[in-house]
Amino acid sequence: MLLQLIVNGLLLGGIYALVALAFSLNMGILGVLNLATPQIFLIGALVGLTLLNGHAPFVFVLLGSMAVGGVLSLILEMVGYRLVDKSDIVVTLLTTVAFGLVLENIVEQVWGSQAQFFPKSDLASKIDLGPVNVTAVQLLGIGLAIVLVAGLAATVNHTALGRSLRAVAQNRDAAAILGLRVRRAEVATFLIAGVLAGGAGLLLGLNYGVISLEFGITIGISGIAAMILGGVDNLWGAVLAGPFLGLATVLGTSYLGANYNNLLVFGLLAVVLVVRPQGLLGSARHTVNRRV
Amino acid sequence: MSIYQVGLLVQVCINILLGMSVYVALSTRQLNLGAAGFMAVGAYTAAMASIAGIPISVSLLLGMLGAMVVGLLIGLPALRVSGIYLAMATFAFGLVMESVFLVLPFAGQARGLAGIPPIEPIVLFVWTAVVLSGVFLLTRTQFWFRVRSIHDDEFAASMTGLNVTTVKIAMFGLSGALAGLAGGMYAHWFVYVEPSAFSVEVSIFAALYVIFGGRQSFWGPVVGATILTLLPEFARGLDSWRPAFIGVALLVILILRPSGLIGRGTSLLTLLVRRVGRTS
Repeated sequence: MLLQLIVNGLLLGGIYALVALAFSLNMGILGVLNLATPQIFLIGALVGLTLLNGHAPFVFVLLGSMAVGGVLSLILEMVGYRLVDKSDIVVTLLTTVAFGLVLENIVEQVWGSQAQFFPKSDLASKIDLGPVNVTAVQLLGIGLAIVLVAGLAATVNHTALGRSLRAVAQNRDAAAILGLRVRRAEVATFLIAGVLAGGAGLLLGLNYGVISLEFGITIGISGIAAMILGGVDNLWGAVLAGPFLGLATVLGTSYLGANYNNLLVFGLLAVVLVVRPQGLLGSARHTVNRRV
Repeated sequence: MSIYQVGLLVQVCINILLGMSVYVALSTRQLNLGAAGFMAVGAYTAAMASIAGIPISVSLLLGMLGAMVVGLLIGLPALRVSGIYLAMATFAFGLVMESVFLVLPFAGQARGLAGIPPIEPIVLFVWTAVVLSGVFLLTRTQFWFRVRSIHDDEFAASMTGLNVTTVKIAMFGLSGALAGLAGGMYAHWFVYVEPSAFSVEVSIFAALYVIFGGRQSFWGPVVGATILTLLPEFARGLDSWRPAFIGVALLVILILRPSGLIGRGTSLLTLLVRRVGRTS
């Protein structure tokens, strides 16, 4: 039982890690807390569901979800970032909220406001691994999460684009003066974050077999929590904090009940924010208020 | 006035108070994304007081005080962080409060609290008018210039000998009190409270009222909350597209006029007059 819970928690944690990465890319590189992420996540899942119902091959379903997430994020970049006063965190925060409102409304009109169920497939059948059972979907989810994270890590650490992303994260103005293409880095950040959010939405939908707006918001809040626990200026903190939070959520929910679990997670989050705002893994070298 | 219109007006009052709560904290450059948390404290305190037999107006005051104390307590550690981190900390606070009232045994948990004595609309309106007048007078004092100076340049403000720390904590206390009063009114108007009434969305909308209306003047949150609350009534045809409409309106405002509908000194009207004056 305990082992099974640990496995489930870690698999859920992979999805948390993807969402947390989507948040921490926008936040760590551009200083934008993107509150439209849950809606992008939700639309990623719903588009995937529509494609699945149309019997598209799984590869296309996944690419479709990720592409829609990316495109929505690019539109947000255009209306909610490029055109407004980026130096003011209040403004960019609220443009993402406003954009999220629009997306949510579109979802209601296109798919309805009820929870949507994913079709039963062979992917959801249990695979017996001795003491624990996992579904193919869970394995696929964790595998994809690992691939996406590894791909992102390679991009950030070893490509020219990655270098410019890191430079913009450190100091946008200095990067611009040195002739880096800051605009390209900004667009790329939004694009990657959107792709991750869209893909994570599909994975969560497949994993639970159901998707709804409440799901999106819950996962969104968990993603923010994982980002903060991991440290906003440390991309890889999210990768560790995601599974940790997934584990805590699954164990907490089964032993304490969902209400106490939320209290615990949010309480921890509030305490970390006040005591160690750079996150558990964030570096203390930077001043805390660097993003303001 | 029909009961429906009275209800709308009550909603406008509650939302203006919520907007004002965000506004006073934002005047010291502290974005409070946890207004719903303070509202919940005020609502539950006032509700439990009234159920225990205390007169409604005293209960409202108690709710306000309770939320103010919580605001001061939140303001203290929150001084360590600012900007987006403070916004996220208050956001987390709102979530914590929602979960706290879900587990507190004497607060009815998920069933909520029922049997709260109803409030006369006129009492509610008088309360709103008195408290808003108080805040309005405060924004007309010299003290308020000092508060605003923290918003414009905290370091420079501290150089003039202003005790920035005290003012910031005090504004968080006031922010809590205003949201707490909104909560008390909510509880006595709907005569029922449950934790889900104080969700994240309430906090976010409170911030939207201020940003939409304008964050540099007292009238900003008043105008913002009134317009965004009444808009659906005047846009019946848009019914199913209402959230998208609000979202687009906000984006347009933030792109074209980031200071909100009502800016400091130059209102839209003044701008218009000036432009007309220039062309003639």
